[in-house]
Amino acid sequence: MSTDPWIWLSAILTLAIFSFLYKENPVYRFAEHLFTGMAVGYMVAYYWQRIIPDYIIRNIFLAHNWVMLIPLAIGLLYLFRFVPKLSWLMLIPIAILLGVGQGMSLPPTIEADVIKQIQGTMLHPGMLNDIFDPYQGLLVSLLVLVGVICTITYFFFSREHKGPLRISAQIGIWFVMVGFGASFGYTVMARVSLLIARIQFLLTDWIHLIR
Amino acid sequence: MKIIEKMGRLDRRLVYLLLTVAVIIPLVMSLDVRTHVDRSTLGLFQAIERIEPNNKAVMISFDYSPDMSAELDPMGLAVLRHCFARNVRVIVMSMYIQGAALAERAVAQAASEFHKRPGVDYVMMGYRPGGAVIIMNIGENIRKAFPADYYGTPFDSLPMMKNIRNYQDIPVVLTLASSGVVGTWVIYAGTRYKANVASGVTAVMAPDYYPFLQTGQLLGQLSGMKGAAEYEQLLVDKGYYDKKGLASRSMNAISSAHILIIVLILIGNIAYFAVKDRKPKREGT
Repeated sequence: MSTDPWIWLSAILTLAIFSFLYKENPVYRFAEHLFTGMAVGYMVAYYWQRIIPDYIIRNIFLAHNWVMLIPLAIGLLYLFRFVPKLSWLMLIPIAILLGVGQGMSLPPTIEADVIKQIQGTMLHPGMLNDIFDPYQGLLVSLLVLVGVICTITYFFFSREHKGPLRISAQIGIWFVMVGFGASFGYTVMARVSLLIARIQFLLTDWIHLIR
Repeated sequence: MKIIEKMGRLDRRLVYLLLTVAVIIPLVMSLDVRTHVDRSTLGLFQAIERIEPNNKAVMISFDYSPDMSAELDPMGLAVLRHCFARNVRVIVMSMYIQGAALAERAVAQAASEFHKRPGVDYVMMGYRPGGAVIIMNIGENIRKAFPADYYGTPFDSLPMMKNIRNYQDIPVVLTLASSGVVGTWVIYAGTRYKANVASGVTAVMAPDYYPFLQTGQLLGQLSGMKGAAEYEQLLVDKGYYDKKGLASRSMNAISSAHILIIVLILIGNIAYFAVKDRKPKREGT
């Protein structure tokens, strides 16, 4: 068994979290709250020790970069959230952030999420050369093309799903189900991975059953 | 029939116990089973293979917090070992506050294994707030994004950064992510600055980013613990590292847990239909 008190603390907290699997209990609650508190405390301490000295003291005051006081002042308007009568002032930084964020992200988002994805749906095996060999690439491209068209027709509600539209929509729902299945399978793997990592920690670092 | 009905009403605590046993047995037995390598993993591996040693740098961003370190830590460690084994320089950073500490731990371990020096063979930049703004700053001039490293060493005092100005000097940008930050890297670094972005993501997120892989917007992707195990397999196959890591040791446990879950799903469905057929139908239904 480990003689490191930190390993023991980690192991005890891991078991405290696992105790929820039996039923809700105060030990689990304590560990859960401790985790949340630690995460927030770490964030506050990190900002206080590293970000504020670097971004505010060094970049503005030591560098005499006085123009940066303007964004600092705008950012500080967020604190008016705690002054009910003047809380509307925090809308200013929110508006600026939203405006700048949207303006900045719109063109590249359209290119990355819309245009490139439409191109990816088209029959263009050359785009797959780095990942697939050309024959597999063509097959995958065809499958993607059929899948996208059929799935979109399933979500086409302006006409009743009759005739070819019905067939296409029914094929589409199969593609959707396969997608859900893949997502669920990956989710199971992710959750099992988390369990395995903790059990590995308990068996390896704590009780030294595995070396 | 009663047995099937009872199986359909298994106490969930028994399921947890079975799952724990299914995980522990393969871990204790520690069988060495070969992992099949997916093309998406190979895409990243080959991209790093193409980088000239002691020249340009790979950027690895640890964009996750400790709750997801089980899946993403092994990926980071495997890629760092690959880079250091090939003498490829590495810039380590994080978009998450807690990610910086995780990155520091991983890079310290890999660097000590390969005797690499900070500032010369790798640079630990740590966390910078700003998200997309930081990604764009790197595209313009990395010095603007990181005036100093994680330990306060000024940019100009880092010998490794002498010839690194922006994404043009960084052939691979890898984000190890547990959130939608992969999309931010693709949109800003990939689309706007034509950087070669790759991702290492949790298994939950993996299906969301396959479309980016198919369009070539991601040059490779490591998906969950399996992606990390595949990378570890490649390192052993190519002789860069002599033993497999944490992810590879977990694959047998994942397989046995999956078999158990499939069996439980089948039992649950059989029990459901058996009970459903025996239930008397209500009037009018």
